[in-house]
Amino acid sequence: MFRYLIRRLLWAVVLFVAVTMVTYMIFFVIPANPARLACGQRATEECVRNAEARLGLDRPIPVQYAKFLQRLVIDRSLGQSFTNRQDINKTILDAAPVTASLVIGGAILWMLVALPIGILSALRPRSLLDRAATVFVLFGISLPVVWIGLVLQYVVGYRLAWTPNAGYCDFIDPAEFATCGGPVDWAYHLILPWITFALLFCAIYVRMIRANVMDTLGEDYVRTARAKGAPEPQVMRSHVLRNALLPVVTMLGMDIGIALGGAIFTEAIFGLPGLGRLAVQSLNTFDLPMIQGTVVFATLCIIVFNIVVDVAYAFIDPRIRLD
Amino acid sequence: MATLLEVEDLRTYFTTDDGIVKAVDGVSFTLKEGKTLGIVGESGSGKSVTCLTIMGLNSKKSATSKGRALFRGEDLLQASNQRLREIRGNDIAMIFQDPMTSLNPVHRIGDQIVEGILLHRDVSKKEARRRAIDALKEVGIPRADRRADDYPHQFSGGMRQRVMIAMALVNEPSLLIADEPTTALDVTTQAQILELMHSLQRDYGTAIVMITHDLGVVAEIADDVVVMYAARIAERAPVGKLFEEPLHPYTWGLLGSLPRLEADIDRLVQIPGTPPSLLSPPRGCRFNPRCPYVFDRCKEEMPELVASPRDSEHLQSCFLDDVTKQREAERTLASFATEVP
Amino acid sequence: MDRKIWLSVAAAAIGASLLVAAATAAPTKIQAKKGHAAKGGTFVVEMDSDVDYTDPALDYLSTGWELMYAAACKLYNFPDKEAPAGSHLEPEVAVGLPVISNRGKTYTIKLKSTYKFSDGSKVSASNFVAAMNRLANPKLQSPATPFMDVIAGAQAVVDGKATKISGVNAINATTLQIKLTKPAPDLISRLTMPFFQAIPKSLSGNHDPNGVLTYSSCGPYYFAARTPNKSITLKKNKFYTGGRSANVDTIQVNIGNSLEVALQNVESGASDYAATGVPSTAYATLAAKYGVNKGRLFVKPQLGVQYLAMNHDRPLFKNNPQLKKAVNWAIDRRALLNQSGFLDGTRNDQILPPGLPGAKNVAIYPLEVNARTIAKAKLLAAGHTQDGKAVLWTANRAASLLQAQIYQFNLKQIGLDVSVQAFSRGVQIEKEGTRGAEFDFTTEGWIADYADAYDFINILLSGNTIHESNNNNVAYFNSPKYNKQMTAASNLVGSARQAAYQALDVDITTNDPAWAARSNFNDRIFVSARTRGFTYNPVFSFDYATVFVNK
Repeated sequence: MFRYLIRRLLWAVVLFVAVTMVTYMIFFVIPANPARLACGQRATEECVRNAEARLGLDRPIPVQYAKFLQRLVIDRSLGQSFTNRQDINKTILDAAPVTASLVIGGAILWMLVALPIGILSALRPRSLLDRAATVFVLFGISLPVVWIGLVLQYVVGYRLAWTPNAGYCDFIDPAEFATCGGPVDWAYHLILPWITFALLFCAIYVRMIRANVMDTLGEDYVRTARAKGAPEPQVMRSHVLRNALLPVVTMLGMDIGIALGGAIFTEAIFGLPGLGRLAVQSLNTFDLPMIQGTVVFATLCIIVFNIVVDVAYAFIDPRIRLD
Repeated sequence: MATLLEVEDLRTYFTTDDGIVKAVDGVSFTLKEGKTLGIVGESGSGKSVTCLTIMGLNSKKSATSKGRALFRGEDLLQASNQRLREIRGNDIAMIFQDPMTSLNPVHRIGDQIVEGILLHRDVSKKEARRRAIDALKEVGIPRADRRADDYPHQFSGGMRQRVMIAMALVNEPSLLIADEPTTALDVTTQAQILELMHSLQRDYGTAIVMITHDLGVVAEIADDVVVMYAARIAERAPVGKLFEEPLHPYTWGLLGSLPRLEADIDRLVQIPGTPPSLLSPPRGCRFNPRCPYVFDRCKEEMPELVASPRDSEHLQSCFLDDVTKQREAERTLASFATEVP
Repeated sequence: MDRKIWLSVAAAAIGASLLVAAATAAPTKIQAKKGHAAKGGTFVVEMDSDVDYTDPALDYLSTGWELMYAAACKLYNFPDKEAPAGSHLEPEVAVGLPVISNRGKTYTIKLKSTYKFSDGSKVSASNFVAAMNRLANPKLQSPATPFMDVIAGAQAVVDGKATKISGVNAINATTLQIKLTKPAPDLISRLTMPFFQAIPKSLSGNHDPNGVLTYSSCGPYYFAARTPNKSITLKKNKFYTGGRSANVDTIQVNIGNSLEVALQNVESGASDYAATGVPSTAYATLAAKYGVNKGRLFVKPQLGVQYLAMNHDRPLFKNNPQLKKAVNWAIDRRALLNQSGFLDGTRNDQILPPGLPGAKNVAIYPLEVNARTIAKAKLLAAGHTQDGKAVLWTANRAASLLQAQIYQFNLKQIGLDVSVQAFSRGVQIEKEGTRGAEFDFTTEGWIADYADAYDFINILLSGNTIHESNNNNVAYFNSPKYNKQMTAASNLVGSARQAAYQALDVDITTNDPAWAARSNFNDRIFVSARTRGFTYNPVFSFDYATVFVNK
């Protein structure tokens, strides 16, 4: 276990350096100059030069990268935004709860829906429910998130006005003069984003759970359990689901890890000030430290969730050992 | 001795997208308490389905079964699910071909045996565990009290099959159905497992239905033999009689393909052709496309299982005349004898 | 509001075209209820992305200046009036025009003593001195420093050699003196920029390079709260005694909703004003539904110009006025404008936008193409197209790409084979601003920093400002004759200044056009049914101080 963690951490460092370095290289291939943008429309040579010095853009790229690493490792700081000089750690920590609200709420929603549908349609293949589930899966996988989001927003949020059409409310501690806040507002504003975000995953998970349960139902040890005289609910609970859901746990962990880096479309459509929107905005304004910050955070999420999944897997599947 | 299991004209049909598969199509046999019945046949001949039908383990949706399977006079085909669950694992236990996949990988083996005990016996968990460890000891698992806490992947194939047997016998069933229990094991382990089953049968008086494609196994363990081909019984006889005077061309073929240690590989006789599709089996005798002795009647008429004129216990389903059968049986056995010193 | 074009690098346009339906099937029941426009209430504003700063020394984005217009008090300001009066500056905290002495190099400005900050403190000359010292402070890296280049001692502070600008002094509480290194007749215009607003004592010593999120200001409103990327709240300045109106109690800016949501919210009344606009495809529908300038949808000309710059560093346009005129005759200004959505601008062929002091409409090039104008263009171009090949740079946004195709077609008719290269907007700015870049045409736009022709003619066309990189003069237009005239014009004041710039505009456009100007921007303003009585200032756009919400 200890050796495993050491190895994973080393690997994470390698991955981390690779990802941030690639981000740097891609950024500097683009010939736009953030210093020029920082100086506005009437940028003078002097202003641009000063801005370059302030932003550190006047140094060679490897030095800039080394500075970035140094700042990150020693000060644990991602620096400041090029565009609005805000502290990036703070900006990301402000945005992360929004994305986490969306992703974790969405994950709960998609599991709540996908588990019963997936299991029931596996138990009753070709039944009406199974066919309906297949249609649902087809729609869920084929319809672009953007389309679903915009339609839900327009129809449910705007025309019917059953839910807000956009916006985010803090779960706790809303800002001064904030128009909304608290758990109820928070959930109310997230209903449509949750549905939008969860739909695709829901479809994928229904398909995956159905396939896994059907596969497991055909396993010899399930027949063994029945041959022991175990009643069907016990067979399902103790023998089918336990095994069928093992890969689902892995997938869930990975998907959440990736999505925590930013659910770009859903956040953009519903105006959620999360990491995805932050990433898009910073790309548009060539805000390298902010881009780098979102990339670093996303990478960390993926690394952490991978380790969490591995460790969790070792606990629930005796065949896996971490060494 | 009392009859334990009596199967009469058992038919199991599966409904599939392509049509109806008649996986078992009129099978009858009886088994007495404490005896062993071997069911022999190629893959897909219906031998496993026969047993699953008796256990009521076929999919309820796609399978329909007719006929009777009387267990101590009680027709299992008519029994309720509740009643079947009471019988399974308690009166009738089953072990399967592949010990690698027949045990649940995520549960400790002790717990898997305990589960079987608690389903049928009103005992404490502690007592159940004690019994499980005893059963493991009985089947020859060393340090059983500790290994009960291990997971299936920590056992070898032979050990797992021992665990399966322990699990099957822990409630002291009167009938054990063993579906090719040694197929997946190496030869030495096979022999050990067969020996184990044999000794347990002696100690507990358990009747066994041994499903196999290996006549060698049958010769070793069975009292009676059923040879199945394409969902029907080709020949049924006490084991001695089958090996003394096999009466069906398919049995001859099986005997010819029996591997012998001394024989070269190229001298193994194969039955030409492949088993027929059970979706649309051939008219007449189902073996006729592969049978070297085929004649017109075989292609028109389905042979019934009838007693040999010289022995009422020896049943077979072939239209060949008795003289030819005797001659060919002797020839098969002669070649067999010359090769096996 | 299109004033943001300079930096709006296609932000938050995701799925914009997907929801045309939003505009076509909006609820029709929401009609303005009869009511009385009274003071008070909250005016809710939608912005798709945040302003960059709310610090007066750092904010240099048009959406921010729109808010600053309501928050700041300045020496001189543009009044809360529509064009043209709105683009003629007036004294605000200053009493009348400055007394100019020392051959145009010393400005003495008298101040009113009635202004107060939102924290209750009085506005005095020292608050303006503090503002300029803070702007020049090198820690802040303010984008305002280019506008202070003529102020004596400013550079020393920028360079870190001094902490106070020697040329800016408070003689007493109501007298401010500014000394210059050379005459700068547009100084007063520059002082209208929000950079030069008075700052309270609490802010004067704050040199945090990150800027402040809120501060006490001396205009009708002040920034009461800001959560970056989420919201900005402006509250009424209780101590304000200036002449400007302040009608609503609170201006609440919600940041981050897409343009589709802004449209929905303003339609339904959940919000009052879409400050960063609604999807461009929606304007035609809104105009059909509500009419233009009739209560909900307003179209206001802005002080800005869109043009096709011709690169004079390239052999194609060097000393080739014939071809430059031909380009101006050839381009289809109507078709070009149609690509950017309904009512996005007004066709024009001149440098100075209408409404800017000094601008005068003269018919020089056709605003509508026909067989005759094309024939004229061909005639002019004949024999002047060199090898007949040209490179056109543009941004990779949908409208720009469509416009590039129109240019391609128009220029083909005068014998120029144009190849189009599209970049993201930031990349285009960087590449075209570097001298020696290999393009013949580039599509550009410019918005007034302040209402003075200098900001267009000298900044965009003077050869004296060309350097190696970061050029605004992307035509690389460098005519010694015009350079001299531009410098001369910039030293004039009053009507002489306006006349000089007017003459330059017409002269350059007619005889040696550096660009083909095609249109001026319009601001398209969509407001809620309860919004009443706002004015639109041609320089600072939407005038928050004047708006009412119906009860």
